[in-house]
Amino acid sequence: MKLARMGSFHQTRLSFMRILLRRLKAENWRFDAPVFDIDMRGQGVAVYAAHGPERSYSLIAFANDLPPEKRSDRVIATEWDATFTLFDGGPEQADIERLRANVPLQEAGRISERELSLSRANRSVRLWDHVVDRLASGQQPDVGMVEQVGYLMRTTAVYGSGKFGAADREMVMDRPEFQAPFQVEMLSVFLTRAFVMDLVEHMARLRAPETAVPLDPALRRRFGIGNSTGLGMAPFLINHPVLLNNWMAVREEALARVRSQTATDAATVASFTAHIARAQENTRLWRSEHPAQVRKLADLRGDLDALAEHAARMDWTAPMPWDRLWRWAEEALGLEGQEALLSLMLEPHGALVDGLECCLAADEAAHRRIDGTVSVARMRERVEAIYDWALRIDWTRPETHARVWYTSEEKLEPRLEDDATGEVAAYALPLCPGRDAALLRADLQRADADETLAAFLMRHPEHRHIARRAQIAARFPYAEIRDNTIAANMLPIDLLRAKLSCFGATHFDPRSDRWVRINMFRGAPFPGDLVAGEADDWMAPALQEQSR
Amino acid sequence: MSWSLVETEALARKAARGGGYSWGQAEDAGAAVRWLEARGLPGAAALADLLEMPGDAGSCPIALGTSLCDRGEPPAPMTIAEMRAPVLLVPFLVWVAKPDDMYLAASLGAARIILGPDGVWLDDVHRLPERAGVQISGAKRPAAPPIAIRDRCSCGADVMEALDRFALRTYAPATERSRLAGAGAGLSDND
Repeated sequence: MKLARMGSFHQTRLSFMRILLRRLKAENWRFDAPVFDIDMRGQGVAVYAAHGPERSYSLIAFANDLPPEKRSDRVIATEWDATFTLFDGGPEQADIERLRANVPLQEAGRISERELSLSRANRSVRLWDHVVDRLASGQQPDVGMVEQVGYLMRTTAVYGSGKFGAADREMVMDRPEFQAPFQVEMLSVFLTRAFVMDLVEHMARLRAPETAVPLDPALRRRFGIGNSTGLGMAPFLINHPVLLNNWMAVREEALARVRSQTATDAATVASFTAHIARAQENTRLWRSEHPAQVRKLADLRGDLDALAEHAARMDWTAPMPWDRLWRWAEEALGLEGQEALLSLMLEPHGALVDGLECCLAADEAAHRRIDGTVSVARMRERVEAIYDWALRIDWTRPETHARVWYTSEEKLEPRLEDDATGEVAAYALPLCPGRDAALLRADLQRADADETLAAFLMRHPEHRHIARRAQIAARFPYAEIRDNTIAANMLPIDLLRAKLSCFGATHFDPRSDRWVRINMFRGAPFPGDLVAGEADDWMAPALQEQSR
Repeated sequence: MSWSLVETEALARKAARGGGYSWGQAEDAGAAVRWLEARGLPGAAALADLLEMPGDAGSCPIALGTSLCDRGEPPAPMTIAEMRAPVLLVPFLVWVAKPDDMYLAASLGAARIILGPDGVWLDDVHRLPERAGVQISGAKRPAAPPIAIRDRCSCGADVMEALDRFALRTYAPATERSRLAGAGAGLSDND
């Protein structure tokens, strides 16, 4: 579990967006928009409701007429083109009025236990104006522009569990639809995409009622919803070691199940090779100007070509075909290609791996207690076994601890300082388990080997955080990222991509080493399409689209 | 207005850190505040009191509570001459490993709390002292139903503001450089 590999993760069948859509389809969820009241200037409110077998949820959207100078994806923005909350049930008018006074303020407002999420989005101005112009004049937008941008609105933060007064995850996690992680947030984004597409058509109709046309349904599906994510998300995987473990354990178990198949059949191989072709096309549509991502994309394209060629000529009738393929890839492909292959190998094996989605959630509070009865000697052995990689680092070298994670007073936003000797060092957050483990081990070495950990921690409360992590990591093998998160050359975008790929994001486009844009639900069906259509075959363009 | 337990715990954790506890102790303090507030007990106010009250580790419920939990032995009987914000000790007494059928009584000054595997009982929340001697002994399960678990924290805004003041100490003052470089932006979003 190195950052370079985590920064090459791709979405899989077990990504949270796909889990959501499979459930919505399997349970025949119904959707409607009971409120859509938006004026010529693009201001107003809309409600999009999702009705499941037992409960309903409503995305309440507040649309705004935002002056361009106020449009920023940064968390420090104070106004957005649209703001949203996912309401538990169907809102009364009084709920909408209460939320109208709070949701557009985002972090500066308050929501209640009736609300499950809080989010906002800004237009991609270029594509938005183009699509409204074209539709208003009775034409479809330019396919090339749609492909290049990929979305009409970009969400920034999508806040869930308990944030700004919202309901805690613990209040809803016993509902089957929210058992898997981040289903509230994914449902909110899925409905947001539907709203945004309806809104752009609505704006074109208001502008030119005589001539306006709706989007062509096939083209409409090629719009996802964007997201712009900065450092705020980066600490999450470090702050939630048991959850990280479960996500990684599910991924490893899924891969192991496929690799341990003794044989395969022609239909499975055909599906797999078709998915390679679709992944190649998807990679063609993946744009980025960031030099690191440009290199990674070139690697990925080369790897997928090599994979397609290898898959076409390998002997699929020999025993353990998937394991042989994986072993070949470990030698022949880079990290991007290996990670893409993992995703592709799971693709035709839904029956084998989809059941693992129930293992993604974690009861983190159950693992907080420190076992202080162990001896200092035993604790030292554990630390040396788990953090061997960190103990090999020469922490006296400045580049090994060049960075400081801290929270800024302004907007309470996590930030990263490049000058570890500066004044922010006093505000450092505990987001560097490797160095903390090295410091813990040094003090354990100086302590009496027979002393209990409880007594040691009484004398050394500063090690309490890492002692807890080490005991968690002793039980959960994927709880710790085995890399230095404060090194001079650490890339925060690796942490962002690892988490966002678990969501099901695609088309990672880093804008710097600590800020990334992505696409969500691109190619996915819209809520109304789920009953009659396919719910889980949209992550890459279908093959017939390539002939266009 | 009410607060979510998640945000209450997060604020309590940061406040404890801002008040001088290590991050590891602050994590336990946050969890203790959440546990109390989920039972309608004034955990947030107790933490705010504790952070305002000078004293040594011997009278600190976080230091003693974490130590008791770490040692993993039932803490009864036990007498502590003086404890600051003693209600904060209660969650740790619940978390400490003990036989499945063991009930404990914690006398916090004039208030008495019974703790067991299936719940917590308190006779009068208004008797909870800001500081008091603590006695822990074995107990029997009361006949009355235990305190109901709640989803929300309903403490006063003044308590949250008091915790905010301590949490503020964990935030670094922003500079223009950190605004641009720290979060990694600088490119246009108007595209």
